[in-house]
Amino acid sequence: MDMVNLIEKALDIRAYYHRVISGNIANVETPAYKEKDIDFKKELDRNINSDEKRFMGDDIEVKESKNNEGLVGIDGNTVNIENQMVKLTENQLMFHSLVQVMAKQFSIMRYLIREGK
Amino acid sequence: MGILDILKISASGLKAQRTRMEVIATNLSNIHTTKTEEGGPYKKKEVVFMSADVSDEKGFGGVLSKTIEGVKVDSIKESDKSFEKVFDPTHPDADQDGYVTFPNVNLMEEMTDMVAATRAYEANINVLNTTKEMFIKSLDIGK
Repeated sequence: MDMVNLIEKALDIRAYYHRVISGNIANVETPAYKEKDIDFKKELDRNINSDEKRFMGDDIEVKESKNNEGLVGIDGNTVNIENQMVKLTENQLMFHSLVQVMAKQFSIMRYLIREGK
Repeated sequence: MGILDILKISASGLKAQRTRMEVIATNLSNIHTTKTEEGGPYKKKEVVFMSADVSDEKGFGGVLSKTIEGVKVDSIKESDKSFEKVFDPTHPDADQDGYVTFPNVNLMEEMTDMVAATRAYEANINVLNTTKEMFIKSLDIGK
């Protein structure tokens, strides 16, 4: 798989992850809501190894996150707001980095098209 | 230990300080509680923090990052401080001598703890923001 496709898939998963985290943050006061999470590395591995079909975000496995340190709110809500904010930041930073890599890739292409001029 | 693990450490600090704040709120709301389910007045609760490995990195990188730790709430314990006895014969919970046993919660202590928790929370947020800035700056390397 070429670089552009790989970055595209990674960006797709990052964008989807953003939705998952947004959902968690939106439900921070919802009684009995369980925090959701995806395994980015696993999803990317699966996407690379699968066929070239367009990725739509439907086949991503969203699981309840288990690491809540045993402290659950009295209403059964397991969202750890600080953790979610950090994950949101982390996701944003990684998305930003991927966009930079993609831009660099295109700038190399442009350089080649102009025959190094 | 990547730069993103620093964010996780800050998150663990924030979570711990929030838990501390929850406990302070519990203590303050029960500052005059003379009845509990297990009998006797309310006992002041205290959080016990413990350093903990926050990274989910495995293998050699994980071994290296063992020394760099976040924090977690180990337990919430009841304080052994003595209760305060106040003479008030008209109180429904007064004993034969007319004394009421009030919880061992000290208002001033709780207020100072609260300020400390707020400041620690702020400090963690500052670390987080600085780490984020560092990461963004690293994208400019070689530009």
